[in-house]
Amino acid sequence: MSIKKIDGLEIEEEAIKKNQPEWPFQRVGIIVMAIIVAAALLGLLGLGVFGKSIVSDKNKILTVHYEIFNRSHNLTLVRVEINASSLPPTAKIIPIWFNQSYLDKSVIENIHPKPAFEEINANKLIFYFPVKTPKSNISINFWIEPQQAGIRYGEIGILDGPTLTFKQVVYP
Amino acid sequence: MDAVLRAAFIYFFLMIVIRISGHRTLTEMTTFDFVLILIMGDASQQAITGKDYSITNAVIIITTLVLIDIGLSFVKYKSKFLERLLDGSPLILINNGKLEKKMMEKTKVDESDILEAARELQGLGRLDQIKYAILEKDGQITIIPK
Repeated sequence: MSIKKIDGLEIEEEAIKKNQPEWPFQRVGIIVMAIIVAAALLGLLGLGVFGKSIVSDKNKILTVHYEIFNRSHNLTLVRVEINASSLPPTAKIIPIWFNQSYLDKSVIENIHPKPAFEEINANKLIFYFPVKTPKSNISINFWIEPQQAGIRYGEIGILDGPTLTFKQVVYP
Repeated sequence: MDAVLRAAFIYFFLMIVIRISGHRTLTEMTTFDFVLILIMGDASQQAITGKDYSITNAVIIITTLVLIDIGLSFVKYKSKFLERLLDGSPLILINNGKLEKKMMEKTKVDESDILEAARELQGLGRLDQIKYAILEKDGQITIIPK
């Protein structure tokens, strides 16, 4: 590195250049950082308003509210809503199932209300929820903690009823 | 979204608290100040991250804080008023050899602090050798000898 002398000041030549080579990279970096913060504010990096989605079957019997963008080892809420008018008046129990491959990469931390019992059947984990007089819509909350980053596909259904598929992106 | 808001809130809150506490907090740290900074750091970290220890959350928080910092430096460059408001301004403690007692009282700087700076920076041993002593924005005392 060469040293220049200007008015008695000995200084590296780089110091008196009008353009530093890293400045364009700094500008790009600031733009990238602004994009990251904007994406985070919009919820595109998880835990935000715009990262939420709803999926329903065509008869609106089953509706699932879920977060498209999650973060690994952070709780995400999957809310299952069942249209009570679609259930037979004599129904005493509602069997809700998840596909096993979805749950293999997750831990169910909490379910509200609690199921009466669970059952593993083929590739499904079935939760049986007791109902008394299903007049209004039934809402069941599953708090799920993804264990791995990546894209995963969930399937939720009512046994012998409609099935819904949803996609989630899990950030590291 | 909340990570950005929490990081921004804590940043501005700490900025206000440190600004209120005065110039000397930054450089002239006592043992108590050091403990205080440690506790503040720990409490802030918990408030910002919450229970989210993911890499994504860390990236968002760091990016938010750096971006606020860059934004504020730009704002300060553009507005002298905001620069004074955010960073304060230099304060004269010895003016042309005369001690500014009121200013020293307000900034909690005593003669021994000025003498310490005089010894360290200029090798001076007496107050009468100092023409100007200035408490800079970063909390350092600058000494200009007679």
